[in-house]
Formats: sequence, C-alpha cells, structure tokens
Amino acid sequence: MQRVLRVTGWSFLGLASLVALFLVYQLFITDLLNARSQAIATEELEFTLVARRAAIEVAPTSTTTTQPVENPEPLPDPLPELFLEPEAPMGTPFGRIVIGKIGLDAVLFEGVDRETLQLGPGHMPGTPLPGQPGNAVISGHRTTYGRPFFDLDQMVIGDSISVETALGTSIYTIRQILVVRPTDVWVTDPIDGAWLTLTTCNPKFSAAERLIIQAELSDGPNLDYVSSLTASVLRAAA
Amino acid sequence: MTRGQRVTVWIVGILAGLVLLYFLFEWAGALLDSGGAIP
Repeated sequence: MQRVLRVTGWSFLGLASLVALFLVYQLFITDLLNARSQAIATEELEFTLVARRAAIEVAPTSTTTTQPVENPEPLPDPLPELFLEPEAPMGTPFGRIVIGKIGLDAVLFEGVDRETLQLGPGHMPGTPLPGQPGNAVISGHRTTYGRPFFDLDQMVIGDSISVETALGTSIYTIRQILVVRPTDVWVTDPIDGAWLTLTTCNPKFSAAERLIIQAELSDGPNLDYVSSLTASVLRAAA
Repeated sequence: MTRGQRVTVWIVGILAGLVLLYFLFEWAGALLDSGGAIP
C-alpha cells in the first residue's frame, strides 16, 4: 500500500513538473526565442527595405482596376498613381507594424505557417501587401512567441494601426471588430478599397476562436488611388 | 555493459526525451495559441 502511494505521489510530481516546464516554455522561453528573431529581423529589414524600394512599380493607372466592377462610372483619367511592391519570399521580413495604443512594434514576415508566425506577425500569401488595394491579412500570436497581439482586444473602432513597408507608411483606421470561428475564411475575402485585417487567437490562452480586426486605409502612398476608385464604385452603385 | 556504453545510452535517452518533449510542447502549445492564422 505504501509503495502504491509512493509511486502515485512521484507520478503526480512528475506530471506537475512536466506541466510547469510546459508553461515556462510556452510563456517565457518562446518569448526569448521571438525576441532574438525580432532583433535579427530588425537589422535585416533595413537592407531588405532598401532592396524592395528599388523594386517598386508604378502601375499603368489609366487601365488598372483592382476590383471587377459592373457598369463602372468612367474613372478619372489618369487615375492617381498606384504603387505596387512585389510579394516577399516566404519567411522573410518585409515591413513593420506599429500600434502605439497597445505598445506593439514588430517586424512583419511573409507567410502564416507555424515556423513563420514564431518569428513575428505574418502576412497571408495571396492577399495584397499592406498599403495596397484589397484586403491585406496579417496573423499573429496572442499569448506565446512574443505575444504581439496580446492586447488586441483593447482596440476600439476608430483606433489607428500603422504599417511600414517599402512603399512607405500606411495608416489604417479600425472599422470593425469581430470574433469568428477559425474556419471562417470569409474574413480574408477581398474588400473594395484598401483594408488591413488582423487575426489572432481568442480568447487568450485558447485557439478556439479568432479575434478579427478590420481597418480601412486612411493615409498612405496609395490613398489617392484607392479613394478615386472607391468614389467611382459608389457613384456607379448610386 | 561497459561504463562508456551506459553513459552513451543515458545521453541518447536524454536527447531523445528532449526532442519528444519539444514536439509534445509544440503540439500542446498550438491548443493554447495556434498563431491566429485563418486556415
């Protein structure tokens, strides 16, 4: 009997140690790993931005539309210039996201696979890059790996998000905050205008849901172009 | 089993345990915070 008690006690102690080790790893060690990745990426980003600035294209504005529009009103010709930068290679840094209200200042990476999100917030391939027309989607960890989006639930409609890429700095204003299921892929669908969608796990310490923040471009290199298109779409719909 | 072999077995066992623990923690960690991506 005493032997059974002793074995059970040691088993529980072992299990408790494992859980404690797990929590230390997830809540502290992953933060250290991420801090190192971000420090390296910050240095790399300086060089990357210089190279990417040289690759910026100005789209031919009199023929370019980003959204199919039925019976469009004549667009102003020429449209304001549309600046486009090429998508970055997977897993590489290409920009920086800053949200002063929650103290976020993190290097952005291309990709939303497990390894990339461990480095920092990641841009979902196939969606436009921040600053460009459409719906740019960025995902980030909530409670581990530097927890970039830990306080995202403190944001309210009207708050600002700043994203710096090779194009320059684009400012977004939050228009919508949602909680959806992880399978609600519609939040990544294209939207008229230029939008930024941030996605993270919800609630904290659970991956059961997704907290979604959708913000509209309110300042940046492509604002004039996007405003012209949006005005045209609104006129056509009227 | 010689002393050298015993030490080798211990080292290999500990390394294998650490690798197993890493994958276990990563798997369990994804339940806490999967990264927030929309599949």
